[in-house]
Amino acid sequence: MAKTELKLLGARASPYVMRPRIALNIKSADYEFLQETPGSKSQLLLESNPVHKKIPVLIHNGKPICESLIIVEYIDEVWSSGPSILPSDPYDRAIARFWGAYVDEKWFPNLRILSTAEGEARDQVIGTLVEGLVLLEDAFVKISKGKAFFGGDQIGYLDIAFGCYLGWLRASEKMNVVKLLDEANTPGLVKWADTFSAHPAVKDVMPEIDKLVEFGKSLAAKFRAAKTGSS
Amino acid sequence: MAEIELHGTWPSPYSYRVLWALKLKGIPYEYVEEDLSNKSPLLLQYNPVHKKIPVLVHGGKPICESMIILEYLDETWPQNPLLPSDPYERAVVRFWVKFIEDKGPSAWVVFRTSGEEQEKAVKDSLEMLKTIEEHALGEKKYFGGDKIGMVDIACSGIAHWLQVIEEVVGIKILEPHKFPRLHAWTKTFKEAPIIKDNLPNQDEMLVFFKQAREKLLASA
Repeated sequence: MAKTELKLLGARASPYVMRPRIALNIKSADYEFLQETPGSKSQLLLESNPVHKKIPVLIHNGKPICESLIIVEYIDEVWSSGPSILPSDPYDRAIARFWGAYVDEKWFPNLRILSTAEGEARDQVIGTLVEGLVLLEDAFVKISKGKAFFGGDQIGYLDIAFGCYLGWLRASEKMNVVKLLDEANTPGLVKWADTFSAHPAVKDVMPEIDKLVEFGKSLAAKFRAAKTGSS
Repeated sequence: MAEIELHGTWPSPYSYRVLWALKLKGIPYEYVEEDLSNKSPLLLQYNPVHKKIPVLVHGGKPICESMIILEYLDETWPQNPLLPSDPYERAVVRFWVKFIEDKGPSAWVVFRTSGEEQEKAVKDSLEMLKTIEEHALGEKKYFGGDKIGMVDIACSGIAHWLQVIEEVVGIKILEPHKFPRLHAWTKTFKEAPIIKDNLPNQDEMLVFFKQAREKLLASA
């Protein structure tokens, strides 16, 4: 019988690439990881994702699937005999998807802004980020119902959606010498962050914080150079 | 309280997405018109994070974000499915839904702005339409194939609201000769049963959106 052909195009530093990797680990699915070179896009990537030309792309038996959370849902549906990633109840699924969209559309963009913000703007962004984390703390308490993860006893969709940002969150805390997740405001998430990061499906695909700090610093420097260059 | 309530506003394409899904599946519901200039305590209670419509309330439990509501409806009431059953095809549908969610709002930026900002938004809108024309529709009658599906509903802004924006700002964006497939689809979609009987009146929308744009530009 032909082996299932499963390839994932990605890069280690990308939070979005982490998502399908965690999902595939949960399902114990073997795959070939094809690392994209930073600064250039492979022919395979351009052919597999002509609309966005972005990673991650999952290629399953030659067919490409794009957009990280869509890939996670696809993995959950295809590897249906493995542990479930999305909750089984439609209402709980709607809530998980709601918060997944929230972290992507409302919360994470501010983390990006933080890397280049200065002075008052920086303080404002930090305030916004912490406010968002307080909302997520509240969601965590309601959704986890006292268990370790948003998904309950097991890692689920929302753990993956939000947890993939932990590397950059911690790197940002280091680069900016600020606490975003802390015991006072977000005790549940502080504990969850550690438990999630140590989980067998996660720990090998979580990027090293110091490498992200290095990468983040070089990106910020490039951005500042571009700004002064154009004025 | 009715078992299912839809909280929406009459000029909103996002509101209509949910309304059409409910009607296509034959799900009885009660409609509640919200006043966004004076948000009701109930709306703020149902959607504290975004404070927006539409909100679907089912048995007292609120669900927010129109496309998330549609997935919920499809899972809870599987008749007349909006999503295909094959996982790969579902991933493709979700891809295009996300695309229009991310890029569609550029048309609303055209509506809200003027000058350089508006010019950029027009460019973005044209690119968005070009991508859909070239990659998403193909030779199909609907995005969903023979029947209306989730992508058709997601793209409905292009079918009915874009014209209003174009008239209010005086810029033609969806030109039939540039986007023949998409243009044909807008006609087919609006003539489909259920859709054609449930569209906001375009003259009323023109008045509403003209006034809204005047207010926006005055306060800028």
